[in-house]
Amino acid sequence: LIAGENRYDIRAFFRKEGRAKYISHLDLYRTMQRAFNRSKLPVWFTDGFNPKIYLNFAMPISLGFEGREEAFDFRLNRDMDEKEIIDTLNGVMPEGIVITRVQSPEKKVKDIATSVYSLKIAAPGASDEELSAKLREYFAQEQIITEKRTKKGMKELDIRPMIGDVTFESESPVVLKMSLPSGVAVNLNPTLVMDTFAKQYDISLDYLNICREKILCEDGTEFY
Amino acid sequence: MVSKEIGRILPLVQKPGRYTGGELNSVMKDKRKVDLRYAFCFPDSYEIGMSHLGIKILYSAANAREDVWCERVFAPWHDMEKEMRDKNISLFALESGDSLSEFDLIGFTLQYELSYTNVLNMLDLAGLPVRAKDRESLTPIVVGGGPCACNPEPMADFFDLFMLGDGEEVSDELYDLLIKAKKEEWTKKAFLLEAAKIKGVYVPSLYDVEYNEDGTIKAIVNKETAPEKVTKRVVKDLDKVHYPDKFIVPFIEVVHDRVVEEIFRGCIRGCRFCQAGFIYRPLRSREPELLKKQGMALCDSTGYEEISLSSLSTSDHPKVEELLSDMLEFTEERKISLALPSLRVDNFSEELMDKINRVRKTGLTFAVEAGTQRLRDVINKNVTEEEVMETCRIAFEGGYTSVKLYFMIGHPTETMEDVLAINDIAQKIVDLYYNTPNRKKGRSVSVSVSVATFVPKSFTPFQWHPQDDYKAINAKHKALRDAVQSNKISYSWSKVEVSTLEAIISRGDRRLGRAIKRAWELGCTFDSWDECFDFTKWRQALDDVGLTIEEYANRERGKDEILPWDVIDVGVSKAFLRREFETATLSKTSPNCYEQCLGCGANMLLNDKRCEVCKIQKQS
Repeated sequence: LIAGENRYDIRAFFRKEGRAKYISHLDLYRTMQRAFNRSKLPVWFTDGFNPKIYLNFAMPISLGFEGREEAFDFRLNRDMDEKEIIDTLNGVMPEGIVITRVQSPEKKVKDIATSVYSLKIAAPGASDEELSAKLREYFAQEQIITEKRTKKGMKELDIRPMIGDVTFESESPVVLKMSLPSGVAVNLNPTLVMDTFAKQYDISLDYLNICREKILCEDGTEFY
Repeated sequence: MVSKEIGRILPLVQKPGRYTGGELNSVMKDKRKVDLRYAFCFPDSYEIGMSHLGIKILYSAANAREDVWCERVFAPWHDMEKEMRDKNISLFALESGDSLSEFDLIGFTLQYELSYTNVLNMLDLAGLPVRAKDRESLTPIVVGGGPCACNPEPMADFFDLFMLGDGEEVSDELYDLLIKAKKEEWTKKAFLLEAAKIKGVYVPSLYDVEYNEDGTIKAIVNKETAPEKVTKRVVKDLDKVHYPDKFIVPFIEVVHDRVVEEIFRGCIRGCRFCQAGFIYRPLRSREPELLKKQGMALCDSTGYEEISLSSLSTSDHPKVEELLSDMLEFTEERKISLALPSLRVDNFSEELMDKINRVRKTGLTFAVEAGTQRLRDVINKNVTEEEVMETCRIAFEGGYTSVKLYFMIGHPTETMEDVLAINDIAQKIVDLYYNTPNRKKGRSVSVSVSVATFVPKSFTPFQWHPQDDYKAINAKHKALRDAVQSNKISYSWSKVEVSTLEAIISRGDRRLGRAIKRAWELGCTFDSWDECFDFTKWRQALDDVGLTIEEYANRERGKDEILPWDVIDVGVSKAFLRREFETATLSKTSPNCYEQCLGCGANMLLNDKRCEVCKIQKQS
């Protein structure tokens, strides 16, 4: 671990799954603060009148999504063994949040460009076969026009060029994997992609699970 | 537990974290290995219910038993209710995800009257008949407790029984009896007959109420095993009773999201409008040393960064300064902020102020309650204007720039002069600020005045007194609003109709149950929420069942009239309350318990019939 000025920058990776997917970003921040309080780790507090544990989440995750490799940064006041940090934190995490590894940060948060999602979906009015056929047709289009809410009201937008690789992980149940921009400048939520599909084909969708599998940087490497 | 069905609707509702369970320190058990499944219900939203201290205590105490599994149930918000009704999903407990109807015991805590329609709605959402007499099997038994249970009559139709007083005492005996009844396959009636023998248990179906032609009560007749009067239960020694070492830590932000420590029960003050000041007597306090230990354990197990001390009046704790020193010792070291709600104006010393200054500054709040000394004497709020001003001066010199004042209008004997004097006090505080030489420089002052409407409550000296009618109250509010000149004073008030409804229900009788049911049928739920409150429907409900607002809210009760709650004994005697009522009409105050014992009667609830205050007096 690399020493800063009396402090050690740490990047932690975690899974957020099961019921924990219903924790919103803001609530996750509070949940982590309290977990750190319980851990008694020598964490670094922010300066100021109301000192808080320094916690910086790389990329907020939408309410209701699971995350396989989410990341946040924090700081320690003394050097500690990685395994000890992981074990201590996992000893105090609520159900559904598991710290998988810690390291010193390499990439910068602003390098993040893409998120890879997997979506398990069903259509109550259609078979999985019909659904996947329609999805293939949908993604084969040259243009996908949707409406996106902006500051100036609703705006028409072609999202097709923003959608990266789309693969079918499974046909029944239908599990899609897709890469979408999730950087500082451009961002596309998978539910917008799917809601647009549902609207175009006049089909109602059940989101059985949405999971962010990976966060990637501009050069296509993983964020670490 | 989130079942598939529930998981499917969660993406469709706001704040799904309300319905998932799985929070840190929630208790999971194997349902096949317990003898009793208990659903503790709070008839309001998750955020309100999870802020309540009683549920934390009773949940923890019940789950400390191996043979009981206690789970939590809250009222689903409208969006969730709609999805549940559409998809035919029964109201479920957060821990197991099982339907409320599968439980042996369903307990509702009744904290305020305006949550009553939610009780009916929750039973209905679980597919249970709302009226007790329509639920024929032994289980689930539906019980109620909490402060509103001290006048249980308006809810008598819906509950199988009520538990009076401190829940820690009576609950265990009830669990044991129900476990026995289940094993021996008793009928519901047989169970209720036995339950009525437990001290502190009121079984409404074992009492007949007879009425006079004018609607007043002619007689309350106890039947079979039911005692003539049900005496509330009290924890005798607060240092020895169960207190949780863990609180559930919600994922979503709730109203009171912190460690809460109950420093004492009861109150020495005797403000004549305050029901809590009488029904929680006698005073019983916890030792500072124990509170410190509990506070540290709770911070460790929750990770909370704030502790709040809970009681009816923090600074009346017999050892308040020792308590604050002890608490500050560890909170300062651990960067935990200490919150002290319910501070009184009159014993706010510089020493105490110094300690408060070491904790995080929040606002200063004073419950002054009435504008003139005469009226404060009537309500026995023993606070003088000088004390208010002195406290504000100390606070301003200590760096405070905002003060919040609580008042009520509609007190007995109130005149327009009393009402307008509220603004005079606020204005004097503004002037005081600008005349304080050592105040914080370059800041302006803000005085917020919050005015509620007085609601006469059972078990207070004003239980006989009518509430001001709606028009009179509104005229008083308007006059006060018009009198405010300074832009440093902000004035807020609560909806008058809400207080009217509270006045109707809080002193209601058994007949009122029909109106509550009717209001619920008309669509009333979450009545305590401004956006949901619909008085038109309540008017119609009362009308539909042939009752009037006036007979409940605005009628003076006769001295010798049988009151609906006379069947309950909360410790303080009716004779004492009447004496206090008569003293009030003379605009005279009464001393607090530390000054002189008035013989309220609450000491009779204790084994040696001597309360803690008497013992402190003897020592000094």
